[in-house]
Amino acid sequence: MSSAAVAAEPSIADRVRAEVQRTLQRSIKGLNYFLSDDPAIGLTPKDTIYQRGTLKLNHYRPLAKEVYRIPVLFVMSLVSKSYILDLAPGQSFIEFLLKQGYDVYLIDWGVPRPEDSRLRLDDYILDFIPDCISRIMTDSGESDLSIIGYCMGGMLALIYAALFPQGPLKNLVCLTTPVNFEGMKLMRQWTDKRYFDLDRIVDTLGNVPPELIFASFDMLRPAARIASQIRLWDNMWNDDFVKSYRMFDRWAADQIPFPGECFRQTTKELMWDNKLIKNELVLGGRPVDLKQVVASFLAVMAEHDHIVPYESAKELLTLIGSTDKRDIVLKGGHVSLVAGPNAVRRLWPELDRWLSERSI
Amino acid sequence: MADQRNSPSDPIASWREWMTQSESRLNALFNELMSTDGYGRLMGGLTKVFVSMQKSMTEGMERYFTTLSLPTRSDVVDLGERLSLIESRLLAIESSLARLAGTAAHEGEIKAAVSRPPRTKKPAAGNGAAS
Repeated sequence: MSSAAVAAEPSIADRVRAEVQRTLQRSIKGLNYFLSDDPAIGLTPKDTIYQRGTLKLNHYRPLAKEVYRIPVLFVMSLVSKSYILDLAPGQSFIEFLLKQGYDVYLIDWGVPRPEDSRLRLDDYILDFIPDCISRIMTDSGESDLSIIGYCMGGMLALIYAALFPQGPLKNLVCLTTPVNFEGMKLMRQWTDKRYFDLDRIVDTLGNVPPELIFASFDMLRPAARIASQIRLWDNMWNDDFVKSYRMFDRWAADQIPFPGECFRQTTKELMWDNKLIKNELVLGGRPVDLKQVVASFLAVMAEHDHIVPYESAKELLTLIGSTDKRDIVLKGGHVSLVAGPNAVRRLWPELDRWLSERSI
Repeated sequence: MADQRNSPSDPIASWREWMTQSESRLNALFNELMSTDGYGRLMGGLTKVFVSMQKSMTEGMERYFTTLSLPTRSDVVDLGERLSLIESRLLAIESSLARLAGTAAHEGEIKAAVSRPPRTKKPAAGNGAAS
């Protein structure tokens, strides 16, 4: 160690003083933590331009003086709430895109009602998404569109792209999108058809309860919950850390039910039979051939993704028919890829660089 | 975080490092355990028990409410279903009326003219990420 580095390092007395101060602050702020409300989220101004059942098509109000010609549509996963894409100002992916000059729309699936348990992938991909897209085309007056799909939303968008290659989809971005379900080893093990009575679950419960979804995600990293609580206590003096922790923790625990029939179909046809990668999936009588995807394509994977492991997403690029295609593996996990300080530094500027050139 | 950088002479930083490593080790250990055939069988069995209990409880409650002449969960679900059907029909009528009156297009034009920025933006020079 150089003498300059030794001089820059605080003395033991300084460290003890800092640690005592932090301990005091932890106690004071720890009390505030339990007494205060969760931070406000999803504040970016928007208008709901279309509603159908629990589905809402939101249009975010532009934040730039001029916008790119091609509007952008976010397609969210069916089991997570969409506000992960619009956390607090300065930490919102949507706000970032608006400030960069994109015209942003989002499909918010809402919380499925008991009667939605009969919805299948066919309904989402052949009906809801095309319906929303035609509304966006009318609303924006444009003939082209970019889609950004996150997690299972990426899979819905990918299948849509394969079934509607004639447009209006011009650019497709899939963030942490599973395509090879053999790569989701733990999930496959837990839903092993020899022991997992799928039909009984769906027939009895209808929609799969959010507690079950939350527990299965949590079990993928069983030690993470305790470790994150300890980290929270360690950083209780740091307001930014606590605010960020509360937003992420709230989102992680705020899962929504999985529509029953869709769960049955996803488990049987994708998790068990891995039909998507084999081009054997059929929706509404139409075979899904990923080679039919011709839109400009960007796949982004996270190096430490425990929900959609790299192995389940890495082959995406080789399966599609697009000639303009690229994939990127970024540091981070499933959630930190799209939100939080890592996303601000890594994904957001990377995606903007790729999409801006293709949005004119 | 700058405060959390590791330093051999900082016991707090070493403790943080130890915690991160322990978390990874524990996760790996549990994941190994959970990927066994036995664990899958156990989880399957537990899920079956949970679902069976849920089913018999639901049936019991249904009988109980029916005896008391109170609406059961399935009655409320049926009602909800009928309401969403009415809701979707109302929406369809609303959009047909708007199309007939030509108001949707008109409103769209006004919105575009008044509050929406022009779609003329070009990427900043040096953005070149095309591959």
